[in-house]
Amino acid sequence: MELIVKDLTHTYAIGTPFARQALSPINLRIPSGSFTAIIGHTGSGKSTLIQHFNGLLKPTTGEVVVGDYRITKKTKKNLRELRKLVGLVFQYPEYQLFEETVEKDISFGPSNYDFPPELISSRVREAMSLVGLDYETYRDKSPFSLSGGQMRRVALAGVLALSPKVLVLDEPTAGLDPHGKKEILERIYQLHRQEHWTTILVTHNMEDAARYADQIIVMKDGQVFQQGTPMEVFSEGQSLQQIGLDLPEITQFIIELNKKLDPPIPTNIFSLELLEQELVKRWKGGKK
Amino acid sequence: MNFLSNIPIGQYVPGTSFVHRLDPRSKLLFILYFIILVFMADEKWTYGIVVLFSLLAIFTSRISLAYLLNGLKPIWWVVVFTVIIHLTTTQGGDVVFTWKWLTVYREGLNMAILTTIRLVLLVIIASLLTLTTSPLDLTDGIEKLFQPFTRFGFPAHELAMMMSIALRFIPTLLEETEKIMKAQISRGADFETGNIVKKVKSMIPLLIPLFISAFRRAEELALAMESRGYRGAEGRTKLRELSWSRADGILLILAILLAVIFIFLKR
Repeated sequence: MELIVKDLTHTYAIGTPFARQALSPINLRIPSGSFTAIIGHTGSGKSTLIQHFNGLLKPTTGEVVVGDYRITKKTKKNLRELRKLVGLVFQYPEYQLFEETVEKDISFGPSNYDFPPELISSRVREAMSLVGLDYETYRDKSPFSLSGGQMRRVALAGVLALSPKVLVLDEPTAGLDPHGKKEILERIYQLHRQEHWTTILVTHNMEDAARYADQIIVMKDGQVFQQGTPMEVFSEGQSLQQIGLDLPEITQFIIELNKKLDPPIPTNIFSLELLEQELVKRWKGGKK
Repeated sequence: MNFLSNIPIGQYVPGTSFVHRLDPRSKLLFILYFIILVFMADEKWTYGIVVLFSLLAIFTSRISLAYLLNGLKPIWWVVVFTVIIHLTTTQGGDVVFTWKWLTVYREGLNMAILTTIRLVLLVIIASLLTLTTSPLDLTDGIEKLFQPFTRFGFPAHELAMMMSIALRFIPTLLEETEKIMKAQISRGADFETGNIVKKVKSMIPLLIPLFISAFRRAEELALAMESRGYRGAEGRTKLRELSWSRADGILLILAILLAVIFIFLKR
């Protein structure tokens, strides 16, 4: 599903002494089936922006269009239906777990929409297999007895059980160890391609943004600072560094390397494997 | 969806007005004194004085009246309830009007108006205290005021510490509640519609995560405090000492003035 954001602004606590404008007019188009990364500092408006995608926050002015749904200041209806299509995974999603068993917790979403029992059960199995949790092993365990990484998988499955078409993830790997981080992201990416989701990933990690995203949106002070493919965004490294964001390590490495290389290695390589191939190709080419 | 952050009760609005600068101790004592005055007021002149004085206090605090009135929302139903009770049950004086079985007397009307003023004043003055005093100052003030009683084993410091921690965590817990609520709403939870049974049931996915996180926070806080050497009141010094300023002197004069006026009017 395509997401279109038109002239969106949002002001928190409007009409009180604490009023604070979190988003200045924002215009965006997120194509159906794309993988979009949103990067930016804490307080740059990322979380506020994504909460408009499933109608948790309503625009102060402007509008958000998700597929056939149009959300403006006045929208009241159909938001529940929209939330079935747009899955939102918050930071530290394991803090929302509450049921006695993993199975019950994952079925919370589907049962809120009064799905028939057989469908709920099949959705739970499906969601658990998507996040890589064995149904028979984990169904009757208490979510609170699991490790952090497993709890996060359960929480993720709880969102996936509604089989959303758009998946919005707010730093899904915060607080996980490097191994767990990679595993979760790889799985999300794999599912993104397999299930044809429109995926939106909020992250602080430039490596992840570069590696997975088709499109990167850089936010600063409630505005879109930059938008484009990873190569477009990261090749203008200076402007990123000016607002205090880093380039991916791999891009930094290539830039350093290019100082000594002619012709330079393209900076649109964002995975170690591809860089390795490129270097090997050069090495062999040079020997001849 | 930001309804939780729209409750201004207890929220400190930073400022430098006369009311802000008062020592928390004198503010606390004065408000206690003023509440007694509000209860002693019983006819239009004394009421006039307390209303006038409250308006003056609001004006000097530089807090917008609209914002303050917004904080009255939670007590509106109490006000409406007392008005209805007074109108229907208090008898005396002339009959103002009758409709079927309902008869409203002059006395009932008076009482309804006066109690409304009384209730609104109490809430406004109390919220003025929390709006103009930072929680830290407030608990410092309470601790100091209760200091004399520590002699009899009264845990003044512990009480103040508990209060300041509780106050400190109100916004945090509200934020947390909002976050969990949003997460569950994203999974299709519905907190707004349905009958009372359904509404109570819908609180479970909110309350369980909230309690778990509150306990976790409490434990982390206790550890953090202990690892920084906290062991209660004994030998603990203050970073900021409270002091009597000129503003407090003015307040004292005002308090005496109010007492004189009251004695004069009540005679």
